[in-house]
Amino acid sequence: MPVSNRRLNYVWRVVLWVTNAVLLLALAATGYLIYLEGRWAEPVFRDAPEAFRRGTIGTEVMPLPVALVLPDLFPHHFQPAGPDAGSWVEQFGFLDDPDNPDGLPVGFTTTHYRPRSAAPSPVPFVALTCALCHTTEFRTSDGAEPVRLLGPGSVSINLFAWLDAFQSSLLERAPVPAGDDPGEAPFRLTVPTIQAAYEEKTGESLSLMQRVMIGLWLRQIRDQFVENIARFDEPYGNGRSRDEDVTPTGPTRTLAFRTLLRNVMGYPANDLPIHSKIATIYNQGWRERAQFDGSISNPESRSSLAAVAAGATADNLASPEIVHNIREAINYTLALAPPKFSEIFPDDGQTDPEAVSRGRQVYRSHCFDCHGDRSGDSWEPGPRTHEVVALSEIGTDPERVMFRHYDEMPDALYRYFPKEHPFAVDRSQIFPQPEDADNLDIRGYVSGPIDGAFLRAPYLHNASVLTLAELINLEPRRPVFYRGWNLYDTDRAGFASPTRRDARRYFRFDTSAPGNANTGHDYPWAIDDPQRDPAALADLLAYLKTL
Amino acid sequence: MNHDKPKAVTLVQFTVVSAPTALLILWALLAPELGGGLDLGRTKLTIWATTFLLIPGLGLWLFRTAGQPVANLGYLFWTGAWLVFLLHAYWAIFIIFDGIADTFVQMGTLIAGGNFLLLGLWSLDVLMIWLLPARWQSSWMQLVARLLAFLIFALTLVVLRGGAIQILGFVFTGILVISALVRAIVQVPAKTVEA
Repeated sequence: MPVSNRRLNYVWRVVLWVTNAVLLLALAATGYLIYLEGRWAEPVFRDAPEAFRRGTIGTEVMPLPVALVLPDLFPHHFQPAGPDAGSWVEQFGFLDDPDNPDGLPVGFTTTHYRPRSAAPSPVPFVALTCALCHTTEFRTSDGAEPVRLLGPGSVSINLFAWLDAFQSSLLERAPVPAGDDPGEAPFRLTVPTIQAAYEEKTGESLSLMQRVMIGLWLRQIRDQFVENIARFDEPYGNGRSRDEDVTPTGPTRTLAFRTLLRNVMGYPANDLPIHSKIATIYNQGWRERAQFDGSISNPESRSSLAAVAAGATADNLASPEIVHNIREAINYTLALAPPKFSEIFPDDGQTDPEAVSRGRQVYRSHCFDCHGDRSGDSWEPGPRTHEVVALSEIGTDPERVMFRHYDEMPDALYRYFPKEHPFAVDRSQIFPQPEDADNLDIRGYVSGPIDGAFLRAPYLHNASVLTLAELINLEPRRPVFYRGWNLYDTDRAGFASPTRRDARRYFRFDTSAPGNANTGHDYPWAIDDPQRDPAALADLLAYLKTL
Repeated sequence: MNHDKPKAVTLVQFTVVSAPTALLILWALLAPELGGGLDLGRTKLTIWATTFLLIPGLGLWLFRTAGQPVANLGYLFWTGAWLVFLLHAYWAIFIIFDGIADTFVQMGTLIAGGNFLLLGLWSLDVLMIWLLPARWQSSWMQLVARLLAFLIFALTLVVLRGGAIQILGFVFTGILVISALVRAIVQVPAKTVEA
């Protein structure tokens, strides 16, 4: 059959026109998408207290709809102690926030930034704020009305266990028949399951763009988690990560340097017992060195690197809103003052003024040189305040400053931010300096001001001493105790512990485990020192409660 | 016959250029959605896309005297590359940096000045070849604009950058240097052709 060249040419021209029209439409749609993106994320510039409480620091974790339904879809991960033991918020030590419009706990906020890049998103993402780790509640008995404070490290938060639950949920696959490869089974968490659970929970539906973004996020983060299995192993799930034999970090502590080793330096950093207590952040303006080892002397570097340890990146830390939040949160902590003991615990007896006076003399003789002393509304530094006291002298657990790659870390952190970045690091402000990198003799812990000392429990950098009474060796230090929602012991100024595990104090802290040593800092006297004067120590405790 | 201006552009010629140009723009604008910094990703990928289009844009221009279809394709690719370069300039100047003055501060006077000079000359050249009649076209103007584009891209990609885009820079430079050599070899005086 003959072919009509005229018709063939006609079809060819139609194809070309359609091709151009389709491409033009695709370009127009892309332009419209970019226009919409510009409207998804309007920067919010909060004042200092709000930046601390509700400002993202580049730690977007997951879309809000996912955060709302994940505990319902995976209760075995998020309520490992059972539904009767409280909500996921309670079981991971978070604090309810009645003011949060989305019903999320303290320290959770929502933004329209995507994780890691701060690119705009049509669906809100849940991000973590400074208040997450630096807000806590003190109560003297279960069921008593708690006192909530901003500033101390959270006594109850178990962040690593919660992250394990989150990762386990995303990696959980549907059950397979016996004999089939479980690795080939589909993942349980999908956009349709999220959408269905979200609609059931809120009565609202997700728009097409929101579903696309959730799908994009899910694919990216799941790929990342799957890739990480080869490096870091699988998450445990089912609440096993709350157990000390699985995740020895436990409540009130982090492995911030492990995160930096992994995210900044690319090392596996597995099984490093470099547990650090979540710091109390009162009166940061009085401090010359940050971190327990005094390794940073610039507040912006301290906070930006803390954000990196919590998941932020150099990309999203350049976002104007996130830069603003971090700087304002720093401003908030510069003069954040601790309350007085009597304000927090008005029913627990007045401190004897004479004991306080005597205790001050003991303090000036034995503590002042390193820690300084309160002077009205300011702080009088001692001759060694802000000094890094070497391990050989202080004698506390060495893991935090002797781990592998400690010497390489300052250079890696210095290189992490480009020179023009808002949080570019000045190499002279992170330690050890290059010439001291291999000098093990100077590694130790910084002696800083101890304002609000009674609120800084548990004590030492690894949270291995529960009370001030034990820290000053008025009483022997407990070799084993239990952590979680610990009650406050007003007599000993610190946290009480049951003699055995219970539902709210579920984490067994064994001071003989690596990184958990409660040795050292034997001031004024070691527990077995013949010169030890218990009466003087009781007076010292009375004074410490007033700082 | 003078080939210093596109003439009688056919639908096929237009589509041969519009399709890759549009696809490269879509790639440069949408690929960063999949991860990394969105704005920085778009800024970087628009330079990749510009480079891809500049290779035929400059290479075919060298052989424009071979025929009007070749000249047309050369001018079309040159124009497509200019469009993508405009997108790159917008993202770099107004999204990544805070305006023209900040671009000079952040990039330095030499590099920013060179880029702005290229943007101005390139824009002028594109406007001239499409809007002005043949008698107003200037081979010298076209040569200067294209030589500047080649030098800035080659230097930037090969010398100032590293990684994958440096490889693209070597490819870009290599193809165009070879094209220029071939052009020089095959070139004969006009009267020889007439003879």
